[in-house]
Formats: sequence, C-alpha cells, structure tokens
Amino acid sequence: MRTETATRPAPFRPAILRAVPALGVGAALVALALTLTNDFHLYVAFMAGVYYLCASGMNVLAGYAGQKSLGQAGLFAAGAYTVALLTTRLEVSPVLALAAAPIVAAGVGVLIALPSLRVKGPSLALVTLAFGLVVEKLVTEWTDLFGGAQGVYGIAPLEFQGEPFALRHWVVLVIVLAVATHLLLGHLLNGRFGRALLALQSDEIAAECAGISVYRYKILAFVVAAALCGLGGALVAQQNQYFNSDFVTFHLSVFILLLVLLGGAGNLYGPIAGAAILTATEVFLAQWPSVQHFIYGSMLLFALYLMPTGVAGTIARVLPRKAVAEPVVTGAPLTLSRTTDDPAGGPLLEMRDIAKAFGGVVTADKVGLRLHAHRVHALIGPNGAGKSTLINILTGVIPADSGSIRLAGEDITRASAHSRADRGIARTFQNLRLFGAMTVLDNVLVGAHARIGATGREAEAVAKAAAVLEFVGLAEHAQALAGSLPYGLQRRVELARALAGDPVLLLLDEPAAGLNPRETAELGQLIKRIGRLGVAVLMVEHDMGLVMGISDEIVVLDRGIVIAEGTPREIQTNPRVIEAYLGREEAPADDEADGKEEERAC
Amino acid sequence: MLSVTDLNVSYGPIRALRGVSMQVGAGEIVALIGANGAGKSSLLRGITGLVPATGQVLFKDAPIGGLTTPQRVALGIAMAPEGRQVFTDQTVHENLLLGGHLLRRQPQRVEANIARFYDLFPRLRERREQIAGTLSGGEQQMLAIARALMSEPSLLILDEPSLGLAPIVTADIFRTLARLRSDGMTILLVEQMANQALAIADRAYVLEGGAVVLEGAAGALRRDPRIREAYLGGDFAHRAA
Amino acid sequence: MLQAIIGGLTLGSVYALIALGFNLTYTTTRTLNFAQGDFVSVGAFVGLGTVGVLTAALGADAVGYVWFYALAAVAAALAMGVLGLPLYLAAIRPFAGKPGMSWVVSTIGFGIVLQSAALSLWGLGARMLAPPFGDEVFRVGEVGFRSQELVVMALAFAILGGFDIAMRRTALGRCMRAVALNRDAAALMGIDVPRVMALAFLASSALAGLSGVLVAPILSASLFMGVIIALKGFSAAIIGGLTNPRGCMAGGLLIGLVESLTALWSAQWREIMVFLLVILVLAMAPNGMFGRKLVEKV
Repeated sequence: MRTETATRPAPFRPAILRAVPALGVGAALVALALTLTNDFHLYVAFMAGVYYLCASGMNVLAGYAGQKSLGQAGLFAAGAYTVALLTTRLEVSPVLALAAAPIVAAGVGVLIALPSLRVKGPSLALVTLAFGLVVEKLVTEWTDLFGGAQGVYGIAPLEFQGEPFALRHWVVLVIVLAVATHLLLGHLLNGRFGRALLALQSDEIAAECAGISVYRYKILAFVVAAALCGLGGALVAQQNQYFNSDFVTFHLSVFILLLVLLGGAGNLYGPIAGAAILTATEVFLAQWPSVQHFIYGSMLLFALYLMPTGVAGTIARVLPRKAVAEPVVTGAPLTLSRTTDDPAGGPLLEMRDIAKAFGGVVTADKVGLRLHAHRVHALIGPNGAGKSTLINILTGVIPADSGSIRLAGEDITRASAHSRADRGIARTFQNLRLFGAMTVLDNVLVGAHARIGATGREAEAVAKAAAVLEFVGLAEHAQALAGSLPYGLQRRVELARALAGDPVLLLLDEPAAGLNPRETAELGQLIKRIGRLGVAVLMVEHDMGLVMGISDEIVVLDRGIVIAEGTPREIQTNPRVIEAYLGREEAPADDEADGKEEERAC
Repeated sequence: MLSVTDLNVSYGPIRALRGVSMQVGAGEIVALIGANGAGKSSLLRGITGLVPATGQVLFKDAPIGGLTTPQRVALGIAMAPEGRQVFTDQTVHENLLLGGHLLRRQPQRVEANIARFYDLFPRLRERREQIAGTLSGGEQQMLAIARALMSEPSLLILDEPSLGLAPIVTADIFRTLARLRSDGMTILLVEQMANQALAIADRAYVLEGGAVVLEGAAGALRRDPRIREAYLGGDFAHRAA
Repeated sequence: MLQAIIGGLTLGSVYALIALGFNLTYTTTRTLNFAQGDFVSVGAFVGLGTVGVLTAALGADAVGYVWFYALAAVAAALAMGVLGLPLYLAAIRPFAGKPGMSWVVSTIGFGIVLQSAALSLWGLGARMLAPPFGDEVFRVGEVGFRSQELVVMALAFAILGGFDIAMRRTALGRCMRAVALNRDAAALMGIDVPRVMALAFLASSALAGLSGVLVAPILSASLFMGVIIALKGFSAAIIGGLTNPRGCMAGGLLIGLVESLTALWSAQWREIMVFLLVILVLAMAPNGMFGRKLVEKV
C-alpha cells in the first residue's frame, strides 16, 4: 500500500511568514486593479471578489464541516438588506452599516444552524433549502419593508475623500477584504478549529469522543459562512446602491455551493479557483444567457464525478509535492499529566445497576463495573452479550436507561460524550473510526483538542503529540494520511489519538480485531505499557490469547448479565463461562457418553 | 459440490479472510467454527458474492467468482444470513414468496414449495399472516431457513443459526438440519456454538484470524482440546509475553 | 372553510404523490432526487403539449377533452419516468452508498440542465391548462366546489391507493420493500437490486410528472412552478417520515391543509407557515412523525 503524505503545510512555520505570499499576491492584484480603466473589467473583478468571500465562508461550512447548505442566498440577502435598510431607513453611516451586515447575517446563520443540531442528511438539506425559499418569499412579498421586486433605492455607499466610492475603490476594498479573509481562515483552518471541523465531517461520533463539541463547531461553521456571505451581499448592495428580491434566488444558493465544489471543497485555495473559473465562465457565457444555466447544470452534475476534490485538489495532486516525510521527534518520554490514582475510598470508575434495552431486547441488565487506575481490565462474552453497548454507555455515545456512573467520585451519568472525553475518558472503536483524510499527527492533535483548548498552546500540543506517536511507534508516519496506512498501523493511530487527550480511563473496543498474531502480540505489550503509565484500561476483546495474557482482571458478560469476574486463571476454568462460549455439552441423543467425558476433561 | 481456493476478502484496509481453501462435498454437512471475528461470515459473504473476493470459487465444477449474488442463487446456492435478516415488515407468507422470487414465473411450484415448508415447520403455517418482525427468534430462524430453501438450492448455507436462541430452540433447529440432510441436502453451517455444530456435522474447519487453523472429521475435532483454545485461549503465556 | 379544506386536501394529495416518490428512492437507494421540482414542471408541460397536439388533431369538444387530459397524464408520467433512468445513471449511481451526499449536487445539476432544455423549448411564460370538466362550480348547500379540484383529488387519491396496494400485494412491491429493508438479504433472494433501484427512480420520476399534470389546471403552469411544489412534497416526506410511505401520504395532506388554511388568513404567509411547521415537527421528531430511525452501529 502506498503511503500518501498530506498537502497541507505542517503547522510549524510562524504565521507571519505564511502570510507573505498572500500579501504579495494581494498587493499585485491591487496594483493591477488600479491600472484597469474599463468599467466592465472592474465590475468583473469586483464580482469575482464577492464570489470569493461567499465561497470562502461556504468552504468552511461545506468543505470543512461537511454541511452542504442550500440556503446561502438567504444569508446573502440578510447582509444586503441590512445595509439597505440601515442606510435608507435609519440613515446609519455606510461604514457602520457594512460592519453590521456580517453580524446580522451571522445571527441569521445561527437560526439555520440550530436545526442542524437535531437533524442530519436529507432533513438538514431540506431545512437549509426551505430557509432560502422563506427568505426569498419574505423579501418578495413583504413589500412594505423590503420593497419586493421594486427594491430599495438610494443605499448609501462607502465614501472616499467625501465622494462615493468609484468602482475601482470597491475593487481595492474587495481585494483587501479577500486577502484578510484568506489569511484569517488560513490561520484558523490550519489549527485546532480546522481540525475539529474536518474531524466532525469525517466522523461525528469519533469527534465527539475526542472531546469536540460537535454542536458548537457546527454552529461556528454556520456563523462563519453566514457572516462572509452576508458581507458579500452587503458589498453588492452598496456598490449598486440598489437591491431587490430578484437577487435572492435558489440559483444563487446553488451557485455559491458550486463555487466551492468546483474549486475544491476543504481546500483553502478551492474558493479562489472556484471564483476565478466561474467568474470567467459567467463573462464568457454572458453572450448566450440561455446556455449559461445549461453549463452550470452540467458542471454540478459532473464536477463531483470527474473531480471529487475540485480544481484546486486536482492541481495539488498533479503538482510535484515537497517531500515532508520528516518524522516528528522529541526526546522526552511520554508522561500523562493528570493524577492517575484511584480516589480515596473507591475505584476510579464505578458503574452501578446500568440497564439498557433496545426495543425489548435487553443488552444490559443491572450491570456493575469497578475499574481501577494502573490496571488492565477485560470485558469478554459471546456474540451479542452487550459488551459494546457497555462501552458506548460508558463513553456517553448512547444513554443508559437507568443506573449511575461515577468517575473519580463525580457523577457523570448524564454528561455528554465530549465532556466525558474532557474529563479523561478516551476510547477506540470496534470498527476503526479514524479521520482518514487527515494526517496521523492531525488525528492525534484532534485527540488533544480539549487539552489545547485549556492551554491555548498549539506548539506544546504538537510536542506532546510527537511524544505519543513515539510511544506507540508511529513517529516516522506522523505526516502520512491516516487512511493510507496499513490496517495494523491505523489501529495504533486510533490508540495514539485516544492517548493524546491525557486519559485517566482508556476504553478499547476490540483492539485486536483484524490484526495478525504478531501485531496482536505487539498490541498486548503496548496496552501493558499504557497500564503502567497509570491509566485504567478496559478492553472488550475476543482474542483470548491477548485477554488472558495481559489482563489483571476479567469480567464476563452474557446476555446483558455479568456471569463471572476474576483473574484469567479463574475465568478459564469457570464452567459457566465455558458453557456460554461453547454451548451446552448436551448433544442430540446419540453420544451422551462423549459429552460427559468431555466435561470431565474440562 | 463447492470448492474454495485461496479466498481473500478485505474491507478497506482490513483483511478479514487470508487465503482460505475449503471443500463441501455433495450430501455433507460441513461446519465452520471459530470465535467471533475469525472470518466465518466473511467467507460466506465471499462465497455468495455479497462482498468482492479474490481467489477461486467453484460450484458444481464451474467458476462462479464473476457472478452477482442473484446469479449464484439461481445456480443453487442459498443462504440464511447471520441474525436471520427476515423481512421484518412483511408477513411470513410474503417472506416465503420473496424466497421463491426466482421461480415467480411458476406460481404452482412456488405454492407447492411453500406447502412443503409449512409441513416442515408447522409453526410457520400457524403464523403465515403474521408480520415477520413479531415472530420469536426461533420462529424467525425457521422462516429464514424456509425462505432460503424456497429457491430450491442444492447447497444451503447457514450463518450462526443459534445466535441469540435458547438452547432448546437451537436443538430443534439442528434436528431440522439433520432431517434436511437425510433428504439429500448439502449444508454449510457456520457456528460459534462448536459443540452443537460438531455433533451434527460430518467435517469441520476451524477458522482463526481469517485463516483455517484446523480441519478434519467432526468426531475427531470434538475431542480436540485445541477447539477450546481457539475460543478461550490456550497456553497464553508464550503468545503475549 | 370547507372549501379551504377541500382545496388543501387537493393540493395535499399532489404533495403526497411527490412525497411517495421521495420515499421510494430513499428507502431503496438512500438518495433523493433534488430535481424533482423540474420533473414536476416539465411533466406539466409535456401534459400541456399532449393536450395541445390532440386538440389540434382531433378538434375540441367537452367529452373528448376529458380523454385528452387522461392521455396527457399518462404521457407525462411515461416521459418523466423514462427520464428517471438517465437521472439514476448519471446523478445517482456514481454516488449512491458513498458518504457526503454528493447526489444532492448532482441531481440539482440534472434538474438545471433539464429546466434549461425545457426553457429553450417552451419559453418563460406561464400557461393555464383548461380543467377537464370546465370551470363549473358545484354547489352543495352554501359551499361551492371547483370541479377540477374534485377531479384532481379523486385521481390523486386513486393513485395513492393503487400504489399502497401495489406495494403490499404485488411481487414488484414486495421486492421494493425487501430492497428497502435489507439489500443483502434481498440479493440473497435472487432479486436484482440495481434494477429495483432504477425502477424506484423511474416510478418516482413518473409520479412527479403526473403531479405536474394534476396541478396544471389548478395553478398556472410555468417551468418555475415545480420547485416550490416539490419542496412541499419533500417537506411532506420529511415530516411524515421518509421511510414510511403512509407517513409520506399523511404528511402531504397535512401540508396541503396547513397551506390552504393559512391562505384563508393571508396568502403570503402560506410558504412560511409550511416551513415553520416542518421545523417544528423536526424539532420534536427528527425522523418525522412516522419515520424509523436508521441506526448507526458504533
């Protein structure tokens, strides 16, 4: 299997240095704009800039957070009507009105984001689509306020030396805003914020269990997209000094989405490519308006099929890549910074009387568990015994019907998954849930999300992540894309991600599934070392060689009930356990004698 | 009847099956046993074409590797999948009609088959208009088997028929399997409950980590301590330490 | 009031047809056609065209016109159904079963292409399809009913009922439900799953085209009318529960009623009320009123 490395720059270069090329390009564009005299050319440049602003916000939402909104026209309108109404009705100064536009739009963005907390997939698409249409209806029908198709005239534009902005001033302003947006988003998206969004797009459950509040970040993404789209709308309204409901159409929403998808979703340069290409297409096709929509339609239909990563992504793949396979190395051995001893007078984690039923099928029936720091615990039982359910209840992925869970004496029965991760419960998943399109290092940094939030120091987190990678033996793969690693290594990346959050309790759901015997043996060693760091480990595992070899304590579950607890030796000879696994020793009629004989042999 | 050579199945980067070879002769009951995650279901999914697999699968001496699942069913392979997977929103009778999908142009034949399996499982006849989702686990398993038989297969594959069933129900199902075999059916049986499976099987393969680690006559395997090791671990000290 | 209820049920039954189409493709392929609106509009125009051709060829009289209308409905259903196949092949099949909902974008693209082609054929203008039984108003006591509403409602309910029976009683219906519930198990029955998926798109597109012809005598037909109609059909499916065909039908009727009762008070607020209803229902039941949650294994 070929190991791919990431195209995103490693987050080591100082921000100032990274800004130089963008500032240079911006300055060159400004110089170029000032030489333009043709109003048509200037207008095209202005619109390209506006498209870029809308697209870069949409890229945060659709490309990074993975929420495809079909109602951006509504946010565009929110910004445009904010400047229109503020300057015409309330005679607010144009500068203040322009500044207010993204804020109002962001507020509206929160409104669409709220349903996204509850619904996903097609239902979310409907909510955004409906939002766009409601706004369209509202501005068309509510003529008293919005002027409908008549529109709002006399929107006050920005002024320069007492004169209204000329077209070239608008172009310069858009370029400045675009460069500033690019730099700001570049800074945010290459750090903790961007990682969190990519993580939740890739796998919400894994992101939540890594300590990311999925809801909060989704709302943030909506807010960024809304603010920038609103800014775009406000600029258009002020430049035209006029705005009406004809601007606000479903086609605008689709166009904004197309800007991102064609340019390259999830790529910082995607919106630039999208804005450039679609503006050029628009200019070129302006002579044949009937063909224009036809071409857009075809682009939407085939773009994702032909170029799943958009133009920017396709270019990045073709360009020769800098070899960045430098391993991340620190000299320091891994230590975990939380206190990791059992609290006085009790186990680190105590689960009491936990019950759970799915539609009448009982998967946990008054289960109690006590987990201790420095010890490796195993949870075993035949297929369908309810083991994964218990792990999911412990991590807050599914709620228990009744019972209580206390971590270090504190009741966490009702805590959300991400706040449990924050408190030091980390986990891996039965079916790998890695963020495959992100680097190994970024995966591990996502695991440290809450920790970075607490200290605010990215560099420290990178050093810590490097130590974790060294601990699990992945230092040389730090810059590889997680999804391109062989399966055995991917398993270890997941373990590293869990360790990066400084856990006090580590839950492993079938860590050896799919591993070959050598990898399994190595995993066993690794888990023992993790236990020695002071972490309480609980693993669900079917590989009995591994379970019996490294566990300090084993709990056996069958049909939602704990049927045995003890050391490996005790469990292996427990007749109830043997029956649960191999079935009863009664055979259909013919050879009862054999059965008895075998029972003695056991 | 069925001959599998060097079969590999991967899910993304996970290699679930690593070069498995096995045979099922006409009229045999062959058991595939092994712990959870050993690759048993993947092997069956590879044989029925539900997942892409590399390697060779011969059925009645003809290669079927390139065929779709429905084409393989048409040739005479039927499977009662893991966890029954009956169509829970349709009645017992409708489930059986779906089982006879490939024979739908011959309604008399379908009706005759249904009557035959109602005789084999009288419980199903009692519940013919009941929605399958409301059946007990054992009844659903009977339905899954009857439904698979509706396509008049020459090889019947069962994936963990005992899953989640009480021992007495399992015994009942296994008696039915023995009866089907005495009527000439060839059966490939995947089971976690090794003791029951070995009691009715002629031969068995033990899977571990996606590969065959043990094979032989069922009677001999029943006395083999390595079976228990495959489930509960054996000489654990040298493996992990 | 009663008039508004009849009007609401009429529109609602059309939404229910569209919602049923969404249900068919969602349950079998986990995808939806976001261009359904364009199928509705183009279906209406195919219907208009058929009526026009027939009238020109055979002359217009009242009895004949009823038959023309029926033929137009069949023609629209057929034409749109056939267009459902390229939709499935170009916009759905490359993305079905993969994460990321790329099919949202590709089906919208297909719709825009379809709409652009139709615009170059029929132009921007709105047209009225004359109702099959004239503009007569039946009077029952104080209340008057427009004949076309009753006809549309009767037809729509007949089709809904027919579909419901077909899904439950025919072999094809059983296959569709089997594929919807469990594709692997359906394949093990020997069912050709990709064929059933393509059929679902054919049926869903045909239903959209038919809806277009049905609403054309009530609303004036333009190539832009479909978007909002399909969106209400979509809303119906979402609040009724995408996975439940009868829920979709109930959702359609509910939306039709809310819309026409709101119109009694203020016509402009119709859409806004409908979408507020959607958001309200989703806030309480994220899977719709009668929907089933598709559980994700962790």
